[in-house]
Amino acid sequence: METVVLVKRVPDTETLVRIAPDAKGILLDGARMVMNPYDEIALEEALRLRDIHGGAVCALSAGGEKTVETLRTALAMGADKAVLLTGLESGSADSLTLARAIAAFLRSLPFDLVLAGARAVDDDGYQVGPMVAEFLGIPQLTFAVRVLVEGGAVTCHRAVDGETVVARAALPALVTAHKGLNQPRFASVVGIMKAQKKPVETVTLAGLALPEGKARVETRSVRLAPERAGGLIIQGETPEEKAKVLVRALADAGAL
Amino acid sequence: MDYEHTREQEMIREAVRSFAEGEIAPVAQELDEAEKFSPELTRKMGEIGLFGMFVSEKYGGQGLDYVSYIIGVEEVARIDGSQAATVAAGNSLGIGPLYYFGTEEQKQKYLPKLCAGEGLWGFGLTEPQAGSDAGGTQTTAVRDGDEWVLNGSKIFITNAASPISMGVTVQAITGRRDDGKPRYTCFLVEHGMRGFTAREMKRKMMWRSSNTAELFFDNVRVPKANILGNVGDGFHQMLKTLDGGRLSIGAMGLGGAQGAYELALKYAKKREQFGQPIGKFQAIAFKLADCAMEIECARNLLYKACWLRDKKKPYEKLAAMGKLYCSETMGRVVNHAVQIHGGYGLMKEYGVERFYRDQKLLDIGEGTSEVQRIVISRYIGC
Repeated sequence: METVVLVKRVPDTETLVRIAPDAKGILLDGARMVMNPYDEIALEEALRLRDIHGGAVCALSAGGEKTVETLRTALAMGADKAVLLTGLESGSADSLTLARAIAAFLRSLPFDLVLAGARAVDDDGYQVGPMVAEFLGIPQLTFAVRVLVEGGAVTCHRAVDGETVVARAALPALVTAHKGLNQPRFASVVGIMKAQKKPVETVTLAGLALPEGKARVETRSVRLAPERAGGLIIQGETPEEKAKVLVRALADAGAL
Repeated sequence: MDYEHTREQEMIREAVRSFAEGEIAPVAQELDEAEKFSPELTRKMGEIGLFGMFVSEKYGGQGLDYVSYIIGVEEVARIDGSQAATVAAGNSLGIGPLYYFGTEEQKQKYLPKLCAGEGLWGFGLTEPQAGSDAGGTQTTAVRDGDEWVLNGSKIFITNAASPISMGVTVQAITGRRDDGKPRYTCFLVEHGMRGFTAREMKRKMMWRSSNTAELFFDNVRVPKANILGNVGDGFHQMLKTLDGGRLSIGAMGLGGAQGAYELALKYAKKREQFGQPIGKFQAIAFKLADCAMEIECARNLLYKACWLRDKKKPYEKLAAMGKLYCSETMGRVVNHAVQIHGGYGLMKEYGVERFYRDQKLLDIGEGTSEVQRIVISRYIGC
């Protein structure tokens, strides 16, 4: 079974975020960059499925030169090969542009399953995976917390609104991985050594037959979330008294 | 000049850091409080490759350079001194002598399991009456046919009485040289040999979840195939082992200093007094600036020592300097770090007190700070 895993390089959530001077993005110099944790889950699942069904796992990412580091991590965890898509101007590519490019590349590749993280922890779009499936015209099963492949089909337990939906789709298909699906392994030192010898292919967008289409999202400005203001503790002797104070406070805040 | 690590070394740092934060950090405090060695955690450290990094792949190692190994110890120590001790002693004192001085049979017999983190091996040098004065060694081995008979005891031996300890390299007196000084030989004593007892030492101040043992040898009969190298090589083997060991103790000081410094910096940005974060006060900011500077100096010194070793250049003087400077840097950093935390720094839940306790061993183990100064002073010709 041939599996492609979409991975994204994102700032570690512990990193202190600074806004760029033009307020159109964030400054990443000095930030610790990691593989999107949801993509780690997707990759782990791909590796486990490979152990059962055989085949190869290819990690795919779009980005600049530094993104190779993230792909090397994927290789160190156990992916067999990696592809870097270059030529997307950083910052200008919205999810749609990115998905279109990834889908265009995937058309040139035989695959049975595409795995992606359900979301990326940097811009929280939840979009690229599903859009890729749409462009490719293949079924998509999102928010998977359990994945089973047999008889040319994939069955997923999907976490939806606190319930579990069991859904099945014929391969090839795309699955997005949710928290709880598995516990991703750590890259081992041996894995890192092996990763140096595995191939990382670079593909430029210019060489792909990209369908027409423009970005639909434009970033106007980025700002830090406002600091949380102090809460209000309702004072009063009796519940009735407290309720009155609360109602007054809600009315003053324009909430009633 | 090139101050950059290779891509591989950077990836190893990143991998060990993620592992230490993900697997060690959540249990470090609990294991410390329970004074409990964890074979499971040791095995996990083996799985990601923290044992045998400098050992050839032929024996189950990773075939890397010493810098990579030191980075590994440093990153574990950034989170927990006890686990770093298991790794540093396991490699430098357990695996090291077997790998560098062992016969082909000995290497094939012991190294694969040790490199996988499935077993641990101790290095028995210190005795109740022989600390800094190694000349006070009293353990003896007497030849009897094809066997040697060991008698004596060892103390403060890391990794030697855990549930996965396989054996110990024991230094014993095997005769006298022409000048009357003792002749030393190292023996590989396996757990289970009759007359050999290993007892875990409890109630330690530091490294509480690493395993420390007291060893007793009561007429232990060791086959001659278990001699490490040749009869009479013991002293030379010990010196070589301690030179490398110093680098790993240095890495523990460096990593521990880094960990305590990061805790203090984070706290100083968050904790408010007099209406602003305490890090805005120069009394606190200057302490942190000193920590950052000293850690940078320590790191450069230690990496240079490792680099010299990897280049097969003389590194012994710098190894002593690195061990001494990194240990003492961590001493100053943990002192500042607890001070910056104020009253909370004294409480276990803030974690910084563990760094404070764990540091003290570094001034004492594998050659006290005083002994390091003797070594350095000899190298500079005093």
